[in-house]
Amino acid sequence: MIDQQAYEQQVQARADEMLDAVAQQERQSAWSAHSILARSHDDQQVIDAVARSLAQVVPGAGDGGMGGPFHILPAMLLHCRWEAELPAQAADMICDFMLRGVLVRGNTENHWLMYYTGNLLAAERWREEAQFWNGQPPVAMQREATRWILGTIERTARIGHHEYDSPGYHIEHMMPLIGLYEHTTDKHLRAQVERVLTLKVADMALEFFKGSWAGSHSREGYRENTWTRVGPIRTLQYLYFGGEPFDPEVHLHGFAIPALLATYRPPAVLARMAWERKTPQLVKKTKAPRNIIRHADHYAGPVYKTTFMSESFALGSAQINLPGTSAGPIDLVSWDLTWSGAKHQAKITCNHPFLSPERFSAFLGPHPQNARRAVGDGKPYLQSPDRLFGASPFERIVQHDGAAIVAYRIPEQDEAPFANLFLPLSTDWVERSGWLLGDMGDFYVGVHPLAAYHWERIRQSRNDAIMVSDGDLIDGWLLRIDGPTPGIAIEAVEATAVDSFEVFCDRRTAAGLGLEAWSAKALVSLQTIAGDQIEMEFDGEHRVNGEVIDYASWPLYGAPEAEGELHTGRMRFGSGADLVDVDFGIDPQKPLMPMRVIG
Amino acid sequence: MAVGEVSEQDWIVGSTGVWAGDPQGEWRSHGPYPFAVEGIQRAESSLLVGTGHGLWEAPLDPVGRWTQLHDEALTEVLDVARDAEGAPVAAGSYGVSVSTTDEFGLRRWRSLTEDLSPDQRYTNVIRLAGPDLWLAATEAGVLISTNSGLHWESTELSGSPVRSLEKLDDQWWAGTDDRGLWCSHDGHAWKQVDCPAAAVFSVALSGNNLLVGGYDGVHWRNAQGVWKQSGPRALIRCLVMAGKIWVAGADPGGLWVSGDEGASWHRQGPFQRVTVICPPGGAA
Repeated sequence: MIDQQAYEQQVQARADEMLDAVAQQERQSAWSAHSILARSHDDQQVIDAVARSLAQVVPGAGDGGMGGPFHILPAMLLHCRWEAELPAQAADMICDFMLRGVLVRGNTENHWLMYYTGNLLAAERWREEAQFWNGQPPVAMQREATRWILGTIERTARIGHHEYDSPGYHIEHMMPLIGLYEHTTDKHLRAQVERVLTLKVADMALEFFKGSWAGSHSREGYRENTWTRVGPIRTLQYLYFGGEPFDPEVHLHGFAIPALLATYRPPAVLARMAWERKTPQLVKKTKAPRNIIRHADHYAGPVYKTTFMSESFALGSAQINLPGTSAGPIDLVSWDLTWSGAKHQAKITCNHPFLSPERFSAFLGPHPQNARRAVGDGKPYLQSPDRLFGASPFERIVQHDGAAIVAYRIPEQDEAPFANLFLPLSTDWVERSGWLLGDMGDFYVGVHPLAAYHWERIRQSRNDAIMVSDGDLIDGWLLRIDGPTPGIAIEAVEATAVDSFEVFCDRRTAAGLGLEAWSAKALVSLQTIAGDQIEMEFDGEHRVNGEVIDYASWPLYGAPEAEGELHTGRMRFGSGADLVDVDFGIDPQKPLMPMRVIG
Repeated sequence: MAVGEVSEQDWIVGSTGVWAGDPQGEWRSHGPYPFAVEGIQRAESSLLVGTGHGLWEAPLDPVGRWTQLHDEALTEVLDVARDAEGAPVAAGSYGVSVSTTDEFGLRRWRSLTEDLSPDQRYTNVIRLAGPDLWLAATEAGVLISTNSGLHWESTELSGSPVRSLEKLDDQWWAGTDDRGLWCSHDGHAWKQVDCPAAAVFSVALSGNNLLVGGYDGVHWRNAQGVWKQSGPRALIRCLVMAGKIWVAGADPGGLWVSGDEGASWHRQGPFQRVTVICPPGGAA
């Protein structure tokens, strides 16, 4: 058990080290200008940083000439944290922006949280003004923002986080919440914010695997899901969990800099949980349904996550429960196998690169006839047939501990009637009886495509205008598995569980893979080397050793050191005397605030 | 009247922001609000503007600040109307929404179609035909309400997304995404109209001339009932006929104007996309 005070001293030491590194950067933004005010006190640098940030065109801001969430939040966090020290010119710019600008909410949950947090803090600070930027008195925005933030916290506490477990966007939930914890004058809101921060850090800890975030993610960047260190959340993973030497290249991202100077520190038990797992453990989570707004005659179901955290690897997947045949959230990652290793060398994942334009118009405004170009012009990689991320309505997964079946039944007319499987280059793959077997040192893995496949190379780079010289985005093997019924069976086991890799190969190839009824009857089964039988009926039941998996019984949180039932607003993390209890004080009969953000 | 103020003689266009002017002349931006405009309701003293960023009231003076009318429950607004009392009714991705005011006089919105299926809820167009009769063009077809939106039922036009809905010369016209053009006298019973466009995004009628905006440009049915294709082969979101002047909004493609009943068309103004066209004096 770690003492909270000692833990906070460790966090502070890491924060100071990180802040020193940030302060040395030449180019600062409103996110990172905290470091100037904390270290060098160069007023002009702060003014320049604020001016540059407010004028910057960034995603989420909408069209040019409007301020969006990525302008609003860092500006207000800077203003609130350094109200007394901020150069007057910088303070005036921010005040003018909030009182006279043209601001927009964006359309994702993190956008709205940043927007409403920044606006709430501004409305509190300039409450005496006759008019806010939106033509209403500041109190109108204060009330609107408070309702939405509290409503979203309640949804998270009852049915799970919507934009769940995203290495790219979790930081954009954490930072506004930390900003509210630090600066709001609303005591009830602050108390609820502290509770939901515990949930958000617990989410980080439960699937934290040696610097990586294992398993399914509502969103995992674009072309980043073969990386082991993904997204700006790395900064908070290091700040709160430590456990490894500081590396500015890995551990610093601008979006998290305000957290370094915050008083908020999570419960110490969560840091211990992130690194210490005495035995392999199963983490279950329920997350909110995807918000599919059209091309469907019913709503999406809850997301049920399963992540097996073993000593040397983590296998995580989710039941996404998408409605119909059009919805496929564009940056959702439904499963992966994660272990400790270099970028591109420690992930296995596969997907169906669903290309229908309706996957855009299922959650965005453009008509389907326009959606492909409207979205794809700005993000051309979303339409690549080699895509390795993004959901498909034609995917189903069943998982049991370190083994899983990932299966697809893709309609004949689909534009990409195949699946893409990513395998690392550095593994010495062995092919035997259809199984691809890898010795990862501490553990062994076997992958069996469910249909014919062809072995290809994949290399994608940011700098691809003329020629790809470095696969900094994706670099590995791409196995194209033929449709219409592609998929894989996968099993990973600790090296300590079998005598040798050779023995693993023998046992894995000898254990059953039931493909006879897959193509014709949509039934597939896998026997693990321990003898467990996993069965999937594609649009029916999933079984382990003959017993139906009851996904409806999934808790909000379920793990050896996490428990929480749906709709109660109560959770417990830790064990023994090392516990943190959270109670949101929720009335389960009260209707939930309707969800209005995409994803 | 302030400089640049919107007058009754102005045409109004919804694009990236609101613009006022003349189809064959100059256009002026109506304030520094580059929202993606989807619906405009014109009134004597102001404009109601439905956008991808909510619902706004814009004063006629372009220097005036727009006032936010939406709250956290009203987001993307695809169309806007006014009820018998003049209160705004918004249609959008989360249904048909109306507002009440709280103790501070601030609008609180609720969707009247929240509990319907996603496709039934997603409303492209809302039309208020009388004090009680409301029609909604949804992704599941045309829905009808005879009690001001409190209860809704399906009509005979079901199973296809409906992207345009107009009452023209005492008849309802509906453009579907995949089954062409339909018409109805009462909003309940619908019959398919012979039309060369499978996807219909806009409809206009003038005398015996019927114009339909499709994915592949404007289709014109003349007095003899003969269809002709006219103008740029673009997705035509909106159409207005004012005498010999025909105006079409393409998305993408901008504003196209014909002064000779469709014989030739000219792209006008700075627009890349046009979603709404309001002729002088009237409503959208």
